[in-house]
Order: sequence, then C-alpha cells, then structure tokens
Amino acid sequence: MYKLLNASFYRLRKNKIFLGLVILTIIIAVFMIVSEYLNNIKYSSVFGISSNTTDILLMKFINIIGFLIAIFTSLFVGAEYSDGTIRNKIVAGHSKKNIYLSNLIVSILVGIFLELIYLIVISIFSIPIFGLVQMNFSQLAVILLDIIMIIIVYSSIFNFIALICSNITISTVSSLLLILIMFVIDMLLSPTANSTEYIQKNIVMDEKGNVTYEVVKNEDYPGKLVQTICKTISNFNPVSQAIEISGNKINMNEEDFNNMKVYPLYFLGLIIIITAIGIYLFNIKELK
Amino acid sequence: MEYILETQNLEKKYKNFKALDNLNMHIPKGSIYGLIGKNGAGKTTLIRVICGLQKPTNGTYSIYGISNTNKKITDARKRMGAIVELPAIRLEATAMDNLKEQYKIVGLPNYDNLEELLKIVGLTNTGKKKAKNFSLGMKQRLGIAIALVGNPDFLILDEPINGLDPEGIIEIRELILKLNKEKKITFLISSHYLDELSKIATEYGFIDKGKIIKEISKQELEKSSRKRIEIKVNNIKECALYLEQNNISYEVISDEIINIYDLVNISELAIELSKRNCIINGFNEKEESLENYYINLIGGNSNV
Repeated sequence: MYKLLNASFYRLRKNKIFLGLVILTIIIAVFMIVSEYLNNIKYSSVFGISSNTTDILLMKFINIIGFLIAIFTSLFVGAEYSDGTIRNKIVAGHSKKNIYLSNLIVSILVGIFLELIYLIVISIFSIPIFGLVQMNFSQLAVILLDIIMIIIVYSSIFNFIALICSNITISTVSSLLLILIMFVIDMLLSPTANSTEYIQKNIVMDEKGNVTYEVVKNEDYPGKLVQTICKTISNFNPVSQAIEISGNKINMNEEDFNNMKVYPLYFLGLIIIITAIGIYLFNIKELK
Repeated sequence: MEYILETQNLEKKYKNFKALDNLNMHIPKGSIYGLIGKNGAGKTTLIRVICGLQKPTNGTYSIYGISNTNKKITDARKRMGAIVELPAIRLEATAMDNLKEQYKIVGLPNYDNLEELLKIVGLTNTGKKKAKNFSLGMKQRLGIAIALVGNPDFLILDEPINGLDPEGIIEIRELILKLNKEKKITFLISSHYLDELSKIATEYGFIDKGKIIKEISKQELEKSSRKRIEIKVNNIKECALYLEQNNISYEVISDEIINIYDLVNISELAIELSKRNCIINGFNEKEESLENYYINLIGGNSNV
C-alpha cells in the first residue's frame, strides 16, 4: 500500500489537474472574500458590518468541494484506465484491494488539502478584514469534523465510480451528474424534512402595538413517517449536510449542535458501505 | 525441465463463451515462448489471466511453481513484467518520469539502474520529450523498460511488434534477443507475425479455440520443417538399409513412409531400390515454414 501511495504522490506532484484545482481553490477563496466584502459595504448602512462573516466564509467551500473532488478523482483515477497503467500495478503484484484503497486515500487527502488551502486563504485575508471567528471552539471542531467526513464521503463515492466504471469520460460525467442529483434530492426533500406540524401564520397586533403570532396546523405537513424518511435520506446525503453547514448553522442552537455531532456517524456508515461494495466489485471486475 | 509458467486445464468463460478451454501450457525457464493463434483464439485472454487482470473460471496456473490459488502468487508476479495489448505508459509524462513512477510502484528504494534501463531500450536521449510525442516503436520500448523495472526474469509481451515499421520491428527483435541472452529473461510473446516470431522463439505454443493444440521446441519444429523428400515404399527395411549404406540422411516415419533429408536423384534411387525388391509407390517433396506448419496444424485457415 505504501508503495502505491508513494507512486501516486509522485504522479500528483506533476499532475496538471491537481495543480489546476489548487489554483481554482485559491481563486474561489479570493472571490468569496471579495463578494462578501462588497455585500458588507452594500448593506452596512442597513444592517451594519456582519460580525460573523469569517464564520460564513469558512463554511462556504464545502458546497463547492464536491465538484472539485469529482473532477479530480474521475480524471486522476480514470487516467489509470485510459493510460493502462493500472495494469502495471497489478502485474507488479499489488492486490486490487490495495489499489482501490490507495486511490481512495489519495482522493481524500487531495480533498482535505484543497479545503486546507481554502481555509488558509480565508484566514489570511478574511480575519484582518472581517475579524476573528465568532463560534466557539467546540462548534468549530464539530463543523470541521463534519467537513472532513463530507470530503471522505465524496471521495468514497467518486472513487467507487471511477474504479468500477473504467471509462474516464463516463465516470467524470456520472460523478458530476450525481452531485447535481444530490442537490436536486436535497431541494425536494429539505422542505419536508424540515417542516413542522404547526406553524406561526397570522401576525396579530393589539392596540398597544404588541405583536403576537397565531399558531396554526401546517396543512402541508406530510406526517411523522414521511418526514422521518426524508430526514434519514437527507442525513445520508452529503450535499444536504454541506448545505446545512454552509447555510444556516452560523447561529447554531443546541439542537443543531447535537445533530452536527451525530452526522459523522451517518457518514462513517456510508463510507464503510460504499468502500466495502467498491472493493468487492473492483475485485471481481474483469480488467483489460 | 524447470518451468517458469505452467497452466493446468485453465478455463475462462465469458457468459456462455469459452475463451480458454482446458488450456495446458508449459514455458521452460530461459526460453522465448512464441504463442501463436488466430484472432479470438484466446491469446490475450490467456495473458490477462496470467497477469492477474482477470480470474480463471476453472483450472489453475502457476508462476515459478506458485499456484494462482496461493496468496503468494502476488509475490511471484513481482518477478515478472508484462505488456498487455498496448504499452501501459503515461502519455503526458517523460520516459524518465514513467520509469520513476514504476520504480515506486515496484517499491525500489532508489533510482539505481534507471539510466541503464533507458540505455538498454535505446531511450537515453529523449530528455523532456513527453511519451505522447514518441513513435510507436519508442512507446513499445518504453513499455518494455517499464516492464523491466525490478529486474524481472519473466516478461510477457502481447503483440510487441504490432504497428511497428520494419526498423522498429528489428529494434524490438534485437532487444528481446539481447535480454534473453544477457539477462537470461524468459519471454512469452504472442504475435501475428510468424516470420518474426520464427527468428527469435525457442519454443512454440499453438493456440486455437482456447486450447493449446501443440507445444513444440524450435529444434523439433526445424526437424519437422526441414526440406525433405517423403517417399512411400513397400519394403521399408530394404529402403532404410540402402540409405544407411549410402550415408543418406533419413528418418523412418511409418511402415510405409520414409523421409530423406539429403539431395538424391529420384530416378537412380528408384532403380537401386527396385533391385532390392523395394518399389516406390509415391513421393513428395516437402519444405515447411512456421506458417505452413501452423496452417497444417490448425487446418487450412491462415488467418493468424
């Protein structure tokens, strides 16, 4: 396994796709900072400068990194098939399991490296402009753990596709399509998963100007069972979790925080299942 | 005899199609084994199975005496190199980078002998030229260099001269002979080019419909392919006696047939034999090339 990793890292050093993705990550980070800066200037007269802009920026990349991992893994692993070099590894006496796992490790490490590059760029430029991170250390640690787990899930999925489907074009297109499908699934399931049985509807203002909300039954509430199914699917969907982390978890309450602590377990299960099936299928795959 | 590779009733099925059917093969150590068969005969499938790219449906094979059912087969594979169909090289990398990556795959601690490898295959002056800009012959030689990383003593080359120009064919031929002679590397070579194969192979295996139908050494083949006159006589004993007395090289094939390898005057021979009550009932002048031998063996179809 060490030999395979060593060979992959040697190849990575001169890999143009990897270099391109590193540059793209830096560009994305700078673009995010500039975009937030312009937003802050635009709305500062109304809302004032947002105090948690650095927090927001740190989490945003997780929505994009899936695409980058999909591109890297499909092309890096796919090239093994298109160049035929996967044969060199097998003939040199490496087991298919080790080839699968070494590619997975490389994909994960590249994902984490890109995330790290993003975080470093954000830290360098965002902290002097927008100030320090506002969330406490434990929240930050849990979110970073979630981010790493999401990266591993993405890598597991795309490594699976790249090694089982030996055509580089098909695996790249399939991986990118899959992310889009996961986004669509999240869009479809999210309203149901997050809906409540009762909602605040009508705003009532008394003579003294006090505002109260009328709580009414939510007619669109699908029922407990359907909601549980939707929530479970969302919990296993890395895109859903990425959106949750990057979107509405800046002001995390206790329940959100507890949920965040549980997500890595869902991901761990997913990673184990995908990798086990992947190794099994790759093992019986007839290579040419 | 010590065999580098042996297969025992090897079978490979793709759904209902048997690509390999009870295939038995023996590659002696130090030989250049030419695997000959027409398209779809099972040559590449056999090589894929031996290289571990595909698993046999039934039967076994052993490399250096280690069976494929033994987990140590991966260790045995470390002593072999292969080019299956096309040379497996990174087209975007230089010859040097391709080799360095293979050094790491094999697990060599340093790049010792790398220059020597490039020299052996004649790629020392490629510098920063990427493999995608190499000629077919250069790519093939780079593929061989990659297969040679780790000093294997068994090389498998699947159609190594396919698509090469005459110069490239000569280069590869010379390289194979050099590696076999100097480094004592055993070769398994599948090829359509029977003339080329006949120039280097020391052993032949003829494959048809997934079976090895004949294994023969170069000496045996030459013997059976020598220019000769095959005569059919009614008294084989007298005929043999006459040939023996006149120092004419011959071989008794059956009770009626005898092969004469020296140049003889048939009329004189017929007269002399008739004096000994031996009548020639028929004769046939024969000379077989590898191609003729193959065609006779397979049954007239020359689509190699």
